[in-house]
Amino acid sequence: MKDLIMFLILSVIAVVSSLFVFLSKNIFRGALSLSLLLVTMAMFFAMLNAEFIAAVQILVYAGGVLVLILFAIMLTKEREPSVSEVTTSRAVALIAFVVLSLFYLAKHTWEKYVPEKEFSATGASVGTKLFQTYVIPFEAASFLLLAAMIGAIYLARRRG
Amino acid sequence: MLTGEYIAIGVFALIAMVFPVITFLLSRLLRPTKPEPDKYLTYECGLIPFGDARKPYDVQYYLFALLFVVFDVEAVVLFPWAEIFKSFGNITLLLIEGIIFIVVLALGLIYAWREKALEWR
Amino acid sequence: MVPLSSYIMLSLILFSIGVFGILTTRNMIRILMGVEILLNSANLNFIAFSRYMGDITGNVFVLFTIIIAAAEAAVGLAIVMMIYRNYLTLNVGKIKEMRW
Repeated sequence: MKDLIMFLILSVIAVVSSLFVFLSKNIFRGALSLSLLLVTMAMFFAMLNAEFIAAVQILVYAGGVLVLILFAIMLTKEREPSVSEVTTSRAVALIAFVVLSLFYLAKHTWEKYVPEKEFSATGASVGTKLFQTYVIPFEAASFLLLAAMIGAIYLARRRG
Repeated sequence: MLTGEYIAIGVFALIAMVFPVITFLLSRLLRPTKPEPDKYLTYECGLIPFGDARKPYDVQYYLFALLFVVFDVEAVVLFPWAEIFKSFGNITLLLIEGIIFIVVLALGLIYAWREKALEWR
Repeated sequence: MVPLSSYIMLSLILFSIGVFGILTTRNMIRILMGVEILLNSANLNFIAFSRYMGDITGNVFVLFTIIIAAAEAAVGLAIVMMIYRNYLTLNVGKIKEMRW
């Protein structure tokens, strides 16, 4: 019961903040609303016993990626309003899609998935799985980060 | 599940959110309100501000933020690495895996250094 | 305990909002923010299934997704800024030259 109330409050915050990302007149406020969404997501992860991922979410997303987005907004000067053009037909399409898919999901039975009582995804358990089974993707991720870093520096540095 | 450990964080978050609201409300209730155009200037005395506050910043800020994000990710991934170090079976293998990861990202740092992305110009 | 289907439904709603926003906005930075929303709704699904199936692999996968999202944001925003430097606009509808 307590969990359900928590879930409802958090999901209302998540949905409203994700809508505000696109509907706010000022793009800076949209980015701050995105940060609220990311922190809410971290709370969901903590609710689902994924403490390590919740911490990573706050450290990398809310602390790193969001700073990048804010800097990109401050580095460029927006000349025209960029609010999503929400016409009636578009809104109807979105709501119809969501409602129909929710009906489809409700028809499906997910009851066979019952959570185990003792499940916790701490740094140690995630790390054991990561370094025992997923070593190659881990090293590949380092090359991906290297490529992203070199590419972004090459693109963004000042010329001349 | 959501146990008592997170209640402390929740209480902290609640206080942090409610405190500024109450402070602003209290000061609004207590203070006298006499609006004058001079009071809306940025500086009470000194230069009269001109131009737009949303000036395009220097790209150097973005480069620093970029490097921060990359090494943030590296640090986050090395946390579980350090955490399982003692209990892992094959320590040499684990050490080699970690060193490869660090060296590959160090190549990126060397590139950034050579491109003078670390210097403030 | 919240049933698994509620997490899937929330993830679906967030994903729809993200796609809707990406399709209706013209600003490049807003489109990238929409991509972050999409990635987050997918992550929520992964974590929920990981918890309800008792398998830690979902958590590992989300860790990779977050790493890749950081790389994507870094390169994407660098490209956005280079386009801005060349065109002085962020409107995707106005950028239609094929080369410069």
